[in-house]
Amino acid sequence: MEELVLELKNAIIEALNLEEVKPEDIDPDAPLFGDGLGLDSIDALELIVLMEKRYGIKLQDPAAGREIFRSLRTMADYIAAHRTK
Amino acid sequence: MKKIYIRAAEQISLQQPLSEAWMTDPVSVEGPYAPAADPDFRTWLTPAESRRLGKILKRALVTALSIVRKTGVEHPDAICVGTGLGCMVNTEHLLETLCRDGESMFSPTHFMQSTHNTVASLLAIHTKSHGHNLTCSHKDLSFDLALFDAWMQFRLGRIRTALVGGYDELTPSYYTLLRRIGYLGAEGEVPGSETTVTMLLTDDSKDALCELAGLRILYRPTPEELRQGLEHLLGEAGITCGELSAVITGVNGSRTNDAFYEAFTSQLLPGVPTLRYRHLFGTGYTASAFAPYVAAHCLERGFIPEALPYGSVPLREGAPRTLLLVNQRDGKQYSLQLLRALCGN
Repeated sequence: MEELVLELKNAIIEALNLEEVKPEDIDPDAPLFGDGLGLDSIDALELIVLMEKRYGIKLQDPAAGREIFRSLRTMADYIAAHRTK
Repeated sequence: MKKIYIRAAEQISLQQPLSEAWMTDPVSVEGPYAPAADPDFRTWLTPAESRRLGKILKRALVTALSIVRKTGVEHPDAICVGTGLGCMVNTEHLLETLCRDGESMFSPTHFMQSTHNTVASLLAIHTKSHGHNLTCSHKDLSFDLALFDAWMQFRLGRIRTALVGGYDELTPSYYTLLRRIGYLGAEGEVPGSETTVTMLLTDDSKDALCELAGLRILYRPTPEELRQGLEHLLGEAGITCGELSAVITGVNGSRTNDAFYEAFTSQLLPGVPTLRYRHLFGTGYTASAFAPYVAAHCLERGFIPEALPYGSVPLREGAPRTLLLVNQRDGKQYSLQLLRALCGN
């Protein structure tokens, strides 16, 4: 799981162009949106695309996104359980 | 009728960015394709501000911010932008993803920034300007029409300040396509390049670089209509051909296209010195935006840089007072602009 968390950190930094952020700066249990990493709604769309492109996960229920994207760890848990590639 | 002035003008191009060093120490560029030299964006934008912005957007924003800093005009009444193809890098990313991965996989950021009017929107957001906002995309006349739009808004008394700009970016694959269709890359032509020119127009002469004394757009004019258009432009400004300090043309080394400029100057402006600028800034859809940028700084500083004269007519003595700018493509559409020095410059 820790390997997937690190992989996700790097993928998010690249996809969201977080130039000044290093993987070790991201607390896997901190909120992705609002206070923690400070992402916004456009970033949420980018993360949905990232999950589909990289892990073959297509989010069908928009309401589920709130829980999946709560933190990097919840995202990693969801990916580990549902990935198709 | 109120006069219109160019208060500030900035560029990012082949030359040193955000600088007029090209006037005395121009950068020489070879090759068919030459990207722009960027400033250090981090000194202008925080990582959070710039992380979603493509280079064309960063360039436009930084030139606008520089103008805001210099002039103190933070909220221009209008934003008028000319662009040939808008944010080409993001458009390419979007199209590549669509072709490779299908419609559901593209990045929303690339999608949002693939439209032509992204630049004008971004400038409006950052300057909190909620007024007139327009993007013109008409090939080589894109910038000229944006300037014309601002001109009309001033004339109608609707605005007192306007940010006007010409923006294009050029990628290697885009350059290849433009070369294939014969738009760029003619034998002897100056490098194809990218354009970022932003200027602030005001109705107040305070601290202005020069006056924008006249502007005309002519669509497929006959030789007689072109002559009349020039006569009217000069007549309205109260000057004659003989009083022009020089004419600045968009000659770019393409024999076919340059022939139209040479016909224009030899037939309508015999004895008027000719200047060029595209050998310094490259050529492309909105390269004509460099013409008023160059002219404004020449008039403000009171000299014509050594690199600009072209043709056999020698420069006139003394500081330049009035410069005529001509832009055209294949003789189909002409833009004529008249810039005049301020008293005391």
